[in-house]
This record gives sequence, structure tokens and C-alpha cells, in this order.
Amino acid sequence: MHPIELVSITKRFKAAEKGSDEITILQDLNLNIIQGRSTAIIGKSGSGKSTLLHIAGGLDSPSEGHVICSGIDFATLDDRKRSELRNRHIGFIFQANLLLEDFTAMENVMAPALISGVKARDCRDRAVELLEKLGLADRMSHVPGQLSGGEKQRVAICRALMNRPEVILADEPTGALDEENASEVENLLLDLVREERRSLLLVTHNQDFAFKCDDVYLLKNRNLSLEKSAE
Amino acid sequence: MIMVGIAVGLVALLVISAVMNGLQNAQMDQLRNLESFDLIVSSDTLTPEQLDALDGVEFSFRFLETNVLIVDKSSETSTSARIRAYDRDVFNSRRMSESFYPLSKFPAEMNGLLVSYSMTRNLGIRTDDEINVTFLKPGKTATIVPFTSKMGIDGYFSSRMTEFSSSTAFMDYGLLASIIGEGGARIGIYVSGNQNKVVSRIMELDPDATVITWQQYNNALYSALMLEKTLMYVFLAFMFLIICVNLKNSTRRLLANKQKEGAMLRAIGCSRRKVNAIFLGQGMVICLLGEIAGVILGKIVILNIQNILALVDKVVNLITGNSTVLTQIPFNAAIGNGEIAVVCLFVFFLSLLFTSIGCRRIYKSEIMEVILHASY
Repeated sequence: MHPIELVSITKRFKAAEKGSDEITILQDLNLNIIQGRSTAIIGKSGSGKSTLLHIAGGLDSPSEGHVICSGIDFATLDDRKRSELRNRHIGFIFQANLLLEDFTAMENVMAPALISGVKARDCRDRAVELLEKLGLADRMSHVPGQLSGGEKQRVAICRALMNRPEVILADEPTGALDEENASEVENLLLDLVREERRSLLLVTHNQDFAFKCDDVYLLKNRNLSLEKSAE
Repeated sequence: MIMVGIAVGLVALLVISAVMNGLQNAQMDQLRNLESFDLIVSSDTLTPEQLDALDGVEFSFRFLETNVLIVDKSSETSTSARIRAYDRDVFNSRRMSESFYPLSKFPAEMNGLLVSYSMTRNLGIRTDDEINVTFLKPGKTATIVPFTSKMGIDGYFSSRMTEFSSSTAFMDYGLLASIIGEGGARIGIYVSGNQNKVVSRIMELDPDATVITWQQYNNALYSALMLEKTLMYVFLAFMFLIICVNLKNSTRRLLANKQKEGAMLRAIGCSRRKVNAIFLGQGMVICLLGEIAGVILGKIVILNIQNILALVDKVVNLITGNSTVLTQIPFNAAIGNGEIAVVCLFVFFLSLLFTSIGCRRIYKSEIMEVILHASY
């Protein structure tokens, strides 16, 4: 059983202009995220990479096809159960770090655990461990406004790993960072994912970053083609 | 800002309620102290002494009332009036002295009339002037009892009830009884306990007695005051509704900024319902804090309302050269805890309703769209 299986995924959007036909972004696409492996999807802007990632994480629904997460089809779940599944099995990292502005780095990292019902005192150690691993030991009590872009993204990585999810979905995680910070965050993310034996689905237009992953797919003409495989 | 809006709205509601209550209470106190007392008893057998002994009765006294025509002998000016006659000690009772203000030296023995300052001005009379008082028989058509008496003016009074002052003169009970007899004597009662229980106790003493409450005696005015109070609350409710529409818009603006936060919460595992509950919870906390601030501020304003009105009066006077009448109306702004609780509940309910309407944007927003929008 794969952490996430995408089966015959098609995604259409309504055209902005009234009366125009629907636009097909993804067509009959299949992809398995393999346990413990990192997978990158590259492609041009507007090719549907982010849409594919959001569908894989249950944030968006496909027009056709199925997304199976840990053996459960997202389509069979209501909003509450889908959210619970996302909370337990998937960690998200976005280009915009999307941290809670009023909470400290520590509280932001603890958020997924708190949402799943774990008490604060029981998840504090895990949050500290992650923040220390990513070099944020002295930034735990800082709010996002007091952190640099790179530090915020490292907090977002910690948050994604907090609940020990099977798979991390990362959408251009270094897209908003300068070269130095980007490289540092790339290495930290890949090291941490390997160390924790998680699966990673990365969407990026940065080919260097993508080719550090085990498998690389190119999203072109609404479907995926394998560019690199670790096997 | 939302909290300030709720606090200011609540202060406005509480202060206006308190001022209106104060004005109405002042009016009702005047009615009960002077015009109708708490109860009026007509009985052939009961005496004030018997009624004084009843539980819940503060003070009772006999009184006579008759209609007269007062004519100033020198100017031949006349006015119709009502004469109320009490024993001298009634004027010293606590409740009477709260509403009855002698404007001249009050005589130890009353041989003439106590008239209001407005009546003396109408008739052009002064203390020690002699007037003709013609006693009229009560009825649908006034018929003249063949009795006209020459009387002096013993003093002036004010009651702050213009209608009452301009139509009523006071006289000693014994003096009026010697003129028209004691046939129409009734007993006025000031109640210190439960009015209905006192009525029941009187009826037990004399089942044939007729007891009129102050609300019945002043039925038209009392109903008007109650209607005024109801309409005032309706008006205030509309006023708060306007505040709520602003509240809804502020919430929507605030939540539009929080959409990113909502999308993130949903991405890490919060359901739509949970995210909505978080923002509603925040709304509730803001609303409660606003209400606490509003009640404290409202209480401070109510306690200092006379000073604030005096200040307003000074400012208006400085700008326009005229004084407002606000400081000339005697009242004690008052609002009960029950009323505060009702107003707070009403404000809380409306605030929550409009916050939840504002929250719908979060509830309806698609996570993907918000996240993509935040990324670019």
C-alpha cells in the first residue's frame, strides 16, 4: 500500500469567460508515492503542478479519478474525516509559509498535534526536537514577524513533520527564498525526510532541487513522464 | 476596532436606558408621592391608624379633595382648581417632602391656601392677599354649592409637575371638612412593601373598601410611559442593529485578512466546521471583552451623568449662548442588573449572529485558491 496513490486523475476548471469550454489541466494521470522515497514533479508555470499537489493532499477534488491515501479514497470521506486523515498522514509545506502570525514558532510547530487532540505537554518534546534539528533552538519563542524568510520556512518544515506523517507534500518550498537560504532549506528538508523515513512529493520549477530527489517526473501536456528514477 | 464598536454600542444602550429610566422614575415618583400616592382607599370603616398597623404600609393619612373657583378680588381674575386637604403633619412625611417643595415659609397652622408659584402668577396674587374661593360640587355638570369663602394665601409651593402645580392648591383638612363635610374623605397610603399584598390585607380588613392603585389612578399617563419605554427599547434595538451591520462588515474585513490563516488551518487538518468554530470563538471572546468594557464604561458614565450633562451644557452655552434644559431636569439615571443582563444578552446574541454571518466567507473559501493566492 502506497502512502498516496493517484488513479486516473483528471481535473477540469470552468473557463473564466462565460460560455467558454472547460479547461482540462490534468488528464487521466496516475502516480504512486512510494514509502520512504522522494518524488519531484517539475514543469512550466501553469502546467498544473500545484493543482496536482493539492489534489494529492485532499485540498482539492479531481473532476475524475481517485486519490487513495493510506488505503482510503478521499472521495468517500466527509470534510471532517478528510481533515483528520490529512492531519494524521500528510504534512504540507507551501511557498508562502502560512504560519499563524500570533503564535510563536514552537506553537506553530505544535499546531497539527494540538489539532489532532494531543495535549501541549505531550507534544512539546517532539516540537523542540524538530526545531533544534533545523537550527531554530534559539527562535522557539519568536513569532513569525521576528523570523527571517528562511527561518519561517524551516518552522513550516518542522510543522509538516510534527505528526510524523507518512508523506510530505511540498509546493515550491524554496520559491520565495534567496539562493543561499534556498539551498540550505532544500538540504535540510531532504535530510530530515530521509532521516525520518518519510515520503516526499515535491513540486518545483527548480531542476537542481528536483534532481536531488529519488524520482523526478515532468508534467507536460496534462500528464506525467518519468525523467529520473532511483531504481 | 470590533471590540471598541461593541463597547461603544453597549455604553450607548445602557446610558440611554438609564437616563430614560431616570426620567420615567422621576415622573412616576412624582405621581406616587403627590398626585395619587401608592394607594387610595375609600372605606366607611377603616381609619389611617388601622392601615398604619398593616404590614407593608409606610404611612397613611386621610385627605379631602374638591373643585373650586379661585377669584382674585382686586383683579377679578379667576381660575378653576382642585383643593387637596391634609392634616398638617402629612406635609412632613418622607415621601411627600420628596416631591413637595415649599417656596416660602411654611406656616405652623394653615388658615388659608397653599398655592403654586405658577397659580399666583396667573392670578396676580401674593402672600397675605385675600381671594374668593367658590366651592363647586363634583359631577358631570359643576353646580355651585352656595358657599364662597374669603381666604388668604399662606404660602407657595412647587412640585415640578406643571399640570399638578397649576391646578392644585392645599388646605388644612379640618378647615375643608368644616366647609364641605367629611363625606368624600379618602385615605392615601404610601407603601413600603409589596403593593398587591397590602391591597389584599386592606380587603381582608374591609371587603367593601375600594382600593385604587397609583397605576389605575394615573392609567393614561402610566400606559403612555410604558409605551414610551417599549418604543425606546425598539428604537435602541434598531440603533444597535445599525452597529451590528458595521460589526458584520468589520468582521468580514477582518476575516478576509484571516482567510490565509483559515486555509493553513484546514491544510494541517482542521475541518471547515472547526475553523469556523475557532473564528467564532475569537468573535465571542472579542464580544465578551467588548461587553465587559461597555458595562464598566456605561456604569461610569451613568454614575457621572449629571457632571457630563453639566459639561455638555457649558459647551453648548459657550457655542450657542443658550443653555440646554438637560441640567434643569432632576433625575437619577438608574439601570437595574436585570436590565443590564438583558441588554448584554441581546448585544451578545446580535454580535454573534453578525460575526457568524461575517464568518461565512471563511467557511465558503476554497483552501487551494487561498493558498495559491497567498503564494503569488
